[in-house]
Amino acid sequence: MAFLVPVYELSKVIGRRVEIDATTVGELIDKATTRYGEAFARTTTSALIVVNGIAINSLQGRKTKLTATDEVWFLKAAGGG
Amino acid sequence: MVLSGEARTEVRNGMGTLGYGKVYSINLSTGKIGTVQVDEKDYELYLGGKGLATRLLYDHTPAGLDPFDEEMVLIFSAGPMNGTGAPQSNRFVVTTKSPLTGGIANSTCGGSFATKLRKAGVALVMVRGKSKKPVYISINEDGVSIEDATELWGKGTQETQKLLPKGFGMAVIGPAGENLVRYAGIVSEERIAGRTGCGAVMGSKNLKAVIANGNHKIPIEAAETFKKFRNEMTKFLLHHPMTGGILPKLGTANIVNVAAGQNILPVNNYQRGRDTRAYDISGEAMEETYLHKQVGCSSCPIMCGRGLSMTVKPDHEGTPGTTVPKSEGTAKRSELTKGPEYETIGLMGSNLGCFDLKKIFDWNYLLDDLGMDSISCGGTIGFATELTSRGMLESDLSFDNHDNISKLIVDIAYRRGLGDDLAEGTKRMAEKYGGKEFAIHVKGLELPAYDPRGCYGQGLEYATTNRGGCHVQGATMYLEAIGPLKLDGHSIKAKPQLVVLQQNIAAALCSSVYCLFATYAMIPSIVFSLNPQGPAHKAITETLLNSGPVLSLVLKSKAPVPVLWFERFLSQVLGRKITMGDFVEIGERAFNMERLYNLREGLTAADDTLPDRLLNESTFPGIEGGVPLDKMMPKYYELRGWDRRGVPTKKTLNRLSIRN
Repeated sequence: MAFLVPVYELSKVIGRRVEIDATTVGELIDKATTRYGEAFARTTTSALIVVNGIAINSLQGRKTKLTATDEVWFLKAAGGG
Repeated sequence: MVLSGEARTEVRNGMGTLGYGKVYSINLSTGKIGTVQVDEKDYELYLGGKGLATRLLYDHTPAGLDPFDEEMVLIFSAGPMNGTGAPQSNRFVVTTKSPLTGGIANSTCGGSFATKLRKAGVALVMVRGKSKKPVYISINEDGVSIEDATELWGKGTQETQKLLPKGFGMAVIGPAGENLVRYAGIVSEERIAGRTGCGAVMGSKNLKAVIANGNHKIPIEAAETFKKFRNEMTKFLLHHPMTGGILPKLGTANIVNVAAGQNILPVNNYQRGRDTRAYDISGEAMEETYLHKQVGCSSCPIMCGRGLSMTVKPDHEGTPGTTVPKSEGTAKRSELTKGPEYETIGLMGSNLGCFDLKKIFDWNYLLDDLGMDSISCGGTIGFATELTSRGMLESDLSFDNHDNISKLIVDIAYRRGLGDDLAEGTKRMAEKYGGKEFAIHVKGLELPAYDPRGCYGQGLEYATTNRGGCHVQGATMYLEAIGPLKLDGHSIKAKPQLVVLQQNIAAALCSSVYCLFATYAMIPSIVFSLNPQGPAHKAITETLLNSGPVLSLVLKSKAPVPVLWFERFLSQVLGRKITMGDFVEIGERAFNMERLYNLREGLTAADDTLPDRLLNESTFPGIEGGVPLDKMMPKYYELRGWDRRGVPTKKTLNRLSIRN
């Protein structure tokens, strides 16, 4: 599955896009935390997590199921226009 | 030709009088230059900038006048905050009738022109008539002169500014304005008053530029208090995570990834809301590869502009530009060229299916040099590309190949071939070729780069904003999707209330005149550090979404004290107390004044809508349809004090002291 990391600080460490096999958001976060360590763990607590454009808060949170084509994005606040 | 001013009425700032500079009236048909005596009460009611200009446009033009009619008025206005040195107080406003919408046209622009206009002792310049030959207007403390611009006609905005007298603040048009491209803008330095086609109205008058300079001391009534507060606010903005962190670091293009991640980045004429290639055109990507230095407007600590090193500039004959990566050595500040903003990247990039930053750099430069709005241009090319893909238009446009876009941009500015059609904008293209259901505009103004199917409040704002599809008349998307709050974009709860409040504040900012980006610091820093999945964040957002009834009461009441820094600065500058209630009401009055202008010019409630695609087609799995506008509009009209036809009631006009 496509796992995208467009969070500025983190993308420099692990790249712009990463693929991880996971069946839920929680599993994806756990696997990525194991792989990338503390830097990634911090991101999960300060970034909005969305699956295919929808915040996981509006889905099933960490239990949100993932399929092979799903995209999970970690997003910080933005501003401008 | 030098004409001296006549019958100048000195209107001083501060105690006793409410004005903040001269108000000139310049007739380019007759060469007559005079001053206008503005009713002192109107300064109190409308403040300046957009509000005052809209009042004057309404009063000084008859109904039904064509935007390109000789008698149409084009107004350049500053506000009482310009030139004071307060943070983010650098923008001027241009106001007229829009060649795109047939309703109110206004656009603001940064740089130093507003400050220089005030240093010339001027608050507002009202231009009417049409010169027989190209001219520019020069303003200083001694008066106004109308100068020959024959040698400047046909030149790009950058060369034009180099050829005009040094030291002046400038507002100029390029070939797009001269050729009446309906979305031509007015350029100042490397910034542009892009929206609604003010540059075309300027071109219709054979007016190439307005320049201003002077040494007039801009009065500040409570100077010591102001100075202290200005320093405090500058520190505050520099330490705020948005105005001191994200914006200077990544520029407005910081929005690309956040918009794509939330499915609201326009892709291929709003057919999709995201694309995995978005990062390649993001502020992050620009910072990593091409950003040499941050650049900014005068008296702004934020520096959100992107300084690129463009060693070869793309020209109007087809020579591509060369943008040098920062890995090859950092360029000097004097050698920098301003890079693209988010809207340009969204509309000229993803909306055209292009994810190549270097191409977008070239188009951004060309658009600024030719003097065209990148939002409307990108929207119109996107629409033409979809028309082509459906076999409704014969052209070589494609969402997969962009080799011809530079040439097309130039063709639009010079109205050559297909460019002549595209110079008319999306609405008129749809009238000629069909495709109304996927023509992405509101009232004729192309939409910016936030798909409202993921932020319903922004959809309501697009539909109701007087100048048409625009994001900077409230920026509700900042509350719903872009900023730290994330107020469920698919909920309609409290959205009418938030849109009204945001629109009123934005209109007050444009009457002061402040940059809208100042509002991004209104959300406390701590909110930026909360876990968006956590309970504290949820509690805040749920409370706000359930605050509709409370917000309705807030909108009806007038806060009796200054709350935001905007009112405090204004109070210090003007020497009279401006409360938050006053400030929001000034904005509400300006908004209603624009509405009255639109109604007078024939726009109706039926124009308060969105394109069919955004109302009916879903881009979110599990969500049917688009923006539920019909569920929000009645409440919005009620909050505005408008009847079912969208007309302000007598009670509303009386409450706001608006004469009609």
